[in-house]
Amino acid sequence: MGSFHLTKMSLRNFFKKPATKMYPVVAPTYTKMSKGHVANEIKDCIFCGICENRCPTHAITVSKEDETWTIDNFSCIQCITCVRNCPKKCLTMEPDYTKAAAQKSIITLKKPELTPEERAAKEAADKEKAARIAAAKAAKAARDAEAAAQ
Amino acid sequence: MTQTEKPQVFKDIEHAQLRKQVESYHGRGWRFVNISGTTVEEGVELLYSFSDGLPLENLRFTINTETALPSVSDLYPNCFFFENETHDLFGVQFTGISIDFDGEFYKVAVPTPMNPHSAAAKASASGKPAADKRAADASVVDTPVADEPAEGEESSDKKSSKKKGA
Amino acid sequence: MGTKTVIPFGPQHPVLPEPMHLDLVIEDEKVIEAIPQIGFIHRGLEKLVSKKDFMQFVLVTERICGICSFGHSLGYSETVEALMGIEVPPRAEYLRVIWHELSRMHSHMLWLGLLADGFGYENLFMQCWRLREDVLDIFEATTGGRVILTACNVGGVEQDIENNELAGIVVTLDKMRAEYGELLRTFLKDRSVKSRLVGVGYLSKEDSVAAATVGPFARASGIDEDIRSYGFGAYGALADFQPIVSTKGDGYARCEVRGLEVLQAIDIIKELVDKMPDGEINQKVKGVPAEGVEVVSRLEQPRGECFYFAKGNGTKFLERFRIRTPTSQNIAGMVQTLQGCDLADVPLNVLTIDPCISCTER
Repeated sequence: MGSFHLTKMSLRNFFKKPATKMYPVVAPTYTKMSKGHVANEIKDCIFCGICENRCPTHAITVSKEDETWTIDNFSCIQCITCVRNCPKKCLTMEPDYTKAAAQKSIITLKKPELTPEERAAKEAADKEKAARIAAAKAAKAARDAEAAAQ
Repeated sequence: MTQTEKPQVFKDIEHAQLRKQVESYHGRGWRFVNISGTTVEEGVELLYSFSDGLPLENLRFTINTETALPSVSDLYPNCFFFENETHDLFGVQFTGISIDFDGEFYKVAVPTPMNPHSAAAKASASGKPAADKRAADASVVDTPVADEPAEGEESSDKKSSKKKGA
Repeated sequence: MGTKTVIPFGPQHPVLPEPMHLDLVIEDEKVIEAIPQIGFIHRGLEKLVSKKDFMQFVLVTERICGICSFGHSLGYSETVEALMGIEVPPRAEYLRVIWHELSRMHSHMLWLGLLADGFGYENLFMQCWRLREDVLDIFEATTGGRVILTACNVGGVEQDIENNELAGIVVTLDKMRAEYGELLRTFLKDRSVKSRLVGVGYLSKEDSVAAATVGPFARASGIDEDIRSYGFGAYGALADFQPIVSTKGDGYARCEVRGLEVLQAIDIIKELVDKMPDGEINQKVKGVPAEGVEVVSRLEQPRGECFYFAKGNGTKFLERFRIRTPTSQNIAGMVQTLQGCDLADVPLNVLTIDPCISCTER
């Protein structure tokens, strides 16, 4: 029995720094796993639509024709389903969360136009791939003809 | 390591035998666990669960919303909660509940929302115009999908056939 | 001889922790009868099984309640795994129990803080919640979320905790023990706290059994019942688990049971970290629940025994999923403790069942 059992702890706390932070003046400490908002490395995105299909709150909209990827950050529930299922691994979960605002905001990302060097590199790669396929087809046709002849 | 009860004991009974079965569990000192309902074609399938430490047994029977069931809240006082809830969500009638809220236990927008075949739900659906029912159902589900509730089941199946399998 | 007045208490009241309504019939500051009423935050979450498939529904079960969030996702996952016959890898079972015991710690510390606030000891309330932040920091470091963890899913757990991180968690919890001991000593030994708790809301063992109470509320009245002692999941790996039982049956006993369960949870986590097996953390789920299969399961949540029932219908949407929370069982016991108590003790009696109305109403 007795009274004032909390005196020691109260005196200790009196001389320590406060346990709370003056957020938002002081930035909060996030861990590497903290779930904030979803970010997209748009130049790697192939607009397959898997993230749109799997999102439980329909926060993501993908348009393949326009090459745009739209997210409503206020609908996102940070379940990381989209990040886990992305085939190109271009989606990541960033730790800082959407700040409070007076209006809901929808973020649209559009795939940037290819620079002339990138376009030239892409065309060269496509040409090389087409040449490889043609060569493989020709080889197969030659093998079939040989087998038929025998 | 086992995760859940093994074996699972489900006893199928007639609804007229309910009172006798519950009295038998009460006499043997078993603890009441739960009443739950599932909507089926013939009405509502009710599940009464009782436990005595590790053993857990479930009584299963089907009832329609016109027949009245005797309440067991005189044997197990906390049943009043589950019987009121089952009445409000499924439309099952109970007689003699110790604290009877008479349909006001849960504030629901449409009567018997979990059982669209009950008499109360059908009466309100025919009375209300279609726009109201759509608004009431949209408040339950928070997805802005264009083709919503009256064809709720078919639209979700169409969507599932478009999606890749889980 | 006084006149009877009816005072409506709740659903919004500064000292009431949860939105429930009580009609108190009082006569000269003594409560004669209390009529409960709930239903203010019914969201109809059980109907969402027809809209979200069984893999996505775990996200809905997590968001039923902020305090017992992990417990509901764990109970749902266990029930659906039994429905489909999925074997969960042992490491996943151990990780689940570790997170669940951390969840129990944070829930009980939250309750201790609310209890202190209920009888006016605000400093103690603040200290309990300051200490609880350590547990929430562990949650954020391991799963990314402080309250809604998104850690459990059907087939196992979503992410792993490395063995060195587990050792760090045990060190943090051991450091917490000393400070927590000071708080517990204040709750159990301080004269002013005891004068508000001892003898308040007494429920004998017979009354408790008749009202079918569960959880720490029942264990404080002498009923020796704890689902963890049946060994489901990784609880079966514990060497010697004894539920904490008290025979005093009043508010002080309930405070004692919950306060000591926090220390027991630290011991359980330590034991499981020592015995942690290596291996997979997730089992891929194939197929859908078969038609007509029903499964029931139980889980010891911080508030008591929680009952889950699942029924499949051959599609990827479950036919029915039912959650019966411990608070719905304890309401009848609470109404009984309220009969004959002082008006000033009403919030304490409501708090001693640790009500969680958002789980109860779903």
